[in-house]
Amino acid sequence: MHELYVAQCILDSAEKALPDDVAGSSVREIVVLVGRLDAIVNDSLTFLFDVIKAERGFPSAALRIDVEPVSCRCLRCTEQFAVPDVDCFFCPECNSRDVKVLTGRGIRIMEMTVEDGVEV
Amino acid sequence: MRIPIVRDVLEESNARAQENHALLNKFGICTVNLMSSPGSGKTTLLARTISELNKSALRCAVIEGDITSTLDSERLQPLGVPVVQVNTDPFGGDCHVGSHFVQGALKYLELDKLDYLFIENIGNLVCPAEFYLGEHERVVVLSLPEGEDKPLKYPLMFRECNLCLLNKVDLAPHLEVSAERFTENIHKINGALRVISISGKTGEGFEEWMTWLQTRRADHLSRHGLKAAEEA
Repeated sequence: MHELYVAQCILDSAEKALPDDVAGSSVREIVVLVGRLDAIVNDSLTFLFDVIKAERGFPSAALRIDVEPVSCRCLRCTEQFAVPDVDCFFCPECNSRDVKVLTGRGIRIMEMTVEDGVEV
Repeated sequence: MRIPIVRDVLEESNARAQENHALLNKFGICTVNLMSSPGSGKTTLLARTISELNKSALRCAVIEGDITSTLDSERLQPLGVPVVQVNTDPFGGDCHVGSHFVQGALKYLELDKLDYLFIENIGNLVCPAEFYLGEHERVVVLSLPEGEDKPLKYPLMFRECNLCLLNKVDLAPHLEVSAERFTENIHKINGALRVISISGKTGEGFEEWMTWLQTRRADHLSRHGLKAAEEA
């Protein structure tokens, strides 16, 4: 249930990322990339984002959530591999468990869309 | 019009965590973030841990995180160590201790008189793993009655920690679980995660846990060129 905090962080970050002369009210969409490892419930995040967005100055913004799959690199043989079910982190080539997570961790804003006619 | 941005949404949270980390380093305080599900035995473990460290004249404090109530703080009061209670209920009932809460709590502690700070996070195997608080060590407590499947169900927690305390091993004879199976599942998620079998009730495993804590503290002090608080 950290989705409320994450929704607040998304709106705080969006506000900081906007140029000074662009109002939050002109933002139509915010695209976030959420790592699969982060255990975010997308429906809850969208719901809570919609609940708080007006009071945070983004009344017309929709949230689009893209999920980043988990991938790793083996630190022994350098094989890169996907971990689709996030339940087994060892190398399919050499069976080493000494692996580094490359993708699928973290929550980032990737893009915002503002209404037509707003100069950025 | 599209505005491309790549911005970590937790940057503010992480910035505060870095400030906490710098402050803790300045005073040479080894800080341990203890995380687990509710009922895993964190508070009992913590009470025994503090008693053991106090025997070696190592000074501890606790930031006690709960959504509501001061029950855990009250359990630690007899130890006579500083305890700062953090309740998230008045601030939306967050299910984890945030770096801003730690920043606030540090103001209530005499940092020059501490060797260890334990942050007892809110009981939850999901959310606390997400948030860096500025700690040096992340420890997950998993107890035998919770079942062997938990590492597979909550992978982030077991990826993010550098020690797992497998607690309540004294209950093994009464449960249809296998400590080996726990370890096997933990290592499917994180092959580097060290596991110590322990019992907060009987004290089994405490020697290994105490050695780990003291080794980690020595490493941090040495890495940052710091002296222990009383020598600073």
